[in-house]
This record gives sequence, structure tokens and C-alpha cells, in this order.
Amino acid sequence: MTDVGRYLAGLFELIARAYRLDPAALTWVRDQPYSIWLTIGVALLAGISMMTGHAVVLLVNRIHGWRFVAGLVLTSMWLVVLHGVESLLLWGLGSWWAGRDVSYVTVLTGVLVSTAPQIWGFLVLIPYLGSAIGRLLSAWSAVCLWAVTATTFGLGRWPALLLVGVAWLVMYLLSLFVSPLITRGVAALFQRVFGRQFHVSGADVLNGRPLLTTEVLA
Amino acid sequence: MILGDLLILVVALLVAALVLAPLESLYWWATRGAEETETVPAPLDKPEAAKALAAGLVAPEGQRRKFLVYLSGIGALAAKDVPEEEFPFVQDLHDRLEEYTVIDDVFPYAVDNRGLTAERILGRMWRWLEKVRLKNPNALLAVLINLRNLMQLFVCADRRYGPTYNMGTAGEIHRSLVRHGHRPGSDDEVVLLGWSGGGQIALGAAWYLEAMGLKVSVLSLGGMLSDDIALARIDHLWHLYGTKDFLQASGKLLFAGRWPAAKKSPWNEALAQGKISMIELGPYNHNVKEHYFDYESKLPSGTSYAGHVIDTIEGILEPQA
Repeated sequence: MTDVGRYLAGLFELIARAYRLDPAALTWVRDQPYSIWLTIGVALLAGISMMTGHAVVLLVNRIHGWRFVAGLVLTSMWLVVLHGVESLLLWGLGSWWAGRDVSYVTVLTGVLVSTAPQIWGFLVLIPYLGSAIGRLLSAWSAVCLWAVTATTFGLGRWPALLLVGVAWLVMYLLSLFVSPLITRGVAALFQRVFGRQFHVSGADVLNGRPLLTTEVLA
Repeated sequence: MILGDLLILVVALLVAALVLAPLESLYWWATRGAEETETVPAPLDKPEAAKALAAGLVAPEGQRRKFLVYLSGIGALAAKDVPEEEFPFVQDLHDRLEEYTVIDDVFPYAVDNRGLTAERILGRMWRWLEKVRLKNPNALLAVLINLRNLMQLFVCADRRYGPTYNMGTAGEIHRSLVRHGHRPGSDDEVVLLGWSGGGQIALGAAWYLEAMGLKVSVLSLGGMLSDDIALARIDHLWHLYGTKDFLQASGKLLFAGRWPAAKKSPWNEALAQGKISMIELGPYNHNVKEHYFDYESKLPSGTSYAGHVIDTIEGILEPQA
């Protein structure tokens, strides 16, 4: 089997283990020759899949060409930052709670593996059912994170759930207080780079303004 | 083994089709949709208006005109390429509704009114299916037409894709209204009669048509309806249904906003406000036989199934007649 073949076989094996909530998944991946690349592969697949969903937002915003690509890159970077913050939080809280030193890379590996269900993220594009599928995948990812957290810190099932819950709460509070600032920043950046407003959302379209032209109202 | 592989292939193709279903309207919106909706037909200038008035094509200033727009079901291939059984029914609407101008030239399953058999990527396939269906109306392959249009129904009902899709169909309905004598900006009355999937498309488009100053009502004939936000804007919704029609009944299971638990949903709020009338027609099926367009089967009263539907619609829209 070639290196690429071995890598792909390992990738699918890791994904399957994540789906089965295999407690030994992290130990297994650490023993593989391409350990970190396997977990990055899972996150990359999940990211690409999720990006297709974001592509729709960009299409509604009528963004094409290099701006379209830049928009996707910007959104991807935002997702990377979010997962980075999440892993740092879990690492800090988990190490303190478990009272033992766990390397950050181990925690990051767990967080990346827990994105495996998002490989199906492109399914959010399905009309009407897509939103529900999106929520289901998020819940599934949370369950995966719960499972890997329990293994990573050697905590029991319920303390691990509490830990993931606390990390989620901190992320939620952060998003509540920081996101308006970030949104303004991203909008300003978008305006500067693309020369147009970004926030023409589905709701704006819903307003029907493009139809209410002076011609019609005259 | 082969059967299992075949099943996986069919499911994969179905998922791929579902994922790709919104792309047509999104592409339309991203490339030319906004420009097209910004240029809805302008009011006629004075000489044109005088000519149209003399020809009886438009109503005098201040007189509200009434239009009924027929939107076909998911079996339609184009505005005028609908299952054969619908033609006598639409003709009956023309003949019986004297106060209304009946319009049937809008294809509800494309944002640009382009039929499936027109120049499209898959146009050749749809034209071939058209021939197959002409030879045998019950051909299994013809189900592909229904599936494709059913997916567009879900695009219309989706809160993310619906706004752009519905803006397209509303624009096409508006253009058709103008072609048939509507004066843009006047408060003419429009009844959107949607059969099966056309019921949901009618609801989606109603939001924008009302925003354009029209008085809009929706008449759903065995329609598969969601809890569309347009319910807050329309004048009234009459839902005509048969007790044996399980497809229309699936709407209340499939769309969570129609569940009694969703008290604040547009559907339940409209119900509470008395804006929705559920009218039971009798033991009607959705199709095959004893359905809404069946002129051969008779009800115990002696009226044909289709005749009773026409009578009911006339009773709703022109009660004095």
C-alpha cells in the first residue's frame, strides 16, 4: 500500500472510531505514523464540508470570483480561531480539574477528532431539512467531544460532561460579549477589502425592497 | 449484494439532487435575480394606457380588477405543459369565474418561469421524459419530474433559500399580471390557486405580491403547505382537501410549524386569527382516480369530483353568482 493509501485508510479508520465514540481512538491515533496529520485531515474534511454551507451565504450576498474565495478563507480562519479558543479552554480547565499535566497537543487532537461528524456538514444545504441536520451534527460533535475529553483527562463520564458544559458556557459568554465587536470588525474589514457591505442577509432580501422600486410605487 | 449497492447508489443520487436543488435559484439570484426584480414592468405610459383601456385590457382608474393565477402541481414540466387532466379544469375556471381574469402561464417551479423542457443543462432529459409520459401517463420514470419539483417546493419553504426563490416566482407572477392588464401599483385583487405543490409556491410568492400593493389570497387545492411567513400578510387562505388525500395531510406532519405545539408559528397564529379556512371536499384522493380533476367519477350527489371542486371555488370567490 502506498503512503497516500495508508494515510487515507488511517483517516477513515479514525473517522469511524470517532463515530463509534471509541474511548481508545486518541490512543490509537497517537500510535499512528501520521498522527497529527490524521487529526488535521479530519478537521480539514469537516471544514471543507462546512464551507459549502457558508458558500450559500456568500451567494445570497452576491459575492463572486476571488471575493467568493476570500470570503470562504475568512470564514475558515474564523472557525480555526473558534476551535483554537475551545481547545485552550478545555486544556486549561481540564488540567486544573484533573490535577495532572496533559499536553496541549493531546487536547487539540481530541478537539479536532470531535469535528468528525461535521464531515457531513454539506448536508445543511438540503432544503428545509438542512437546518435540523446542522443542529443534529453539532449535537453529535458535542457528544464526540464529551467522549474524547473523558479519555484525555482520565475523568469519569459525568465530570467530563460537566467540563465540556463549562467550556461551552465560557464560549457562549465570550461570543455574547465579544461577537458584536468581532462582527463590526469583520464587516469593516469586508467593506475595506471588497468595497461593499457584507450584511445583506436572507432577512434583508425578505424585506422585499428590491421589488418596491419607484417604478412600481409610482 | 447488487441490490444493496443499487440502493446505496439511489440514496447517494437522491442526496446529491437534494443538495444541488437550491443552486438554480441561488445562481439566478447571484447573477441576475436582483436586477430582474428591480426592473419589474413599469406602468404603461399615457398613450399606451389609453390604448389598453380602449381595448378593455386594463380597468379604469379606481376600479379594482380581480385575477386568479393557477399554479400547477409538481407534475408540471412548464407553465402550459401540465398533466392532461388539468386542462379541462383550468378551462372550467375560465368559463365559470366571470369576475376574474384567469391566468395559467406561470411555471411555479423555476424562478425565471423557464419550463424544464426549455434550454437547460438537463433539458434533453426532461424532453425525453415528457415523451415517455405522453406515451404512458403512469410511467414510473415520470416520477423524476415530480421529485425535481418537490425539491423546489422545499427550497420555497426553506427560510434560507425561500426569500430569493419566492422573489423570483413573485416577479414572474407580477409580470404575468401586467401582461393580463394589471396596472402596476394598483391594488388589484389576486387569488393564487395552487394545486398540490403549487399551494406552497403560492404562499411563498404571496409575501412579495402583497408588498407590491396587491390584495392577495391563496386557494390551496390539496396543497402541501408549510408554516410560511406569508400567512401573516395574505388576506385569506382556503385549503380545499380530500379525506383520502394523504399527500396534502403530510404537510401538517412534515412542517413543524404546523404542529399544535408551535403556538407562535405563522400557521397557528393565522389559524387563531381566522385567516385559514379548511374546507373538506369529500373522499378525494390526491391522484390516480376520484381526485380533484376527475370529471368521470361521481359523488353520491351526482356531481363529478372535479365539478364539485369548481362549484366550491366559485362559491368562495363569487358567492352571489
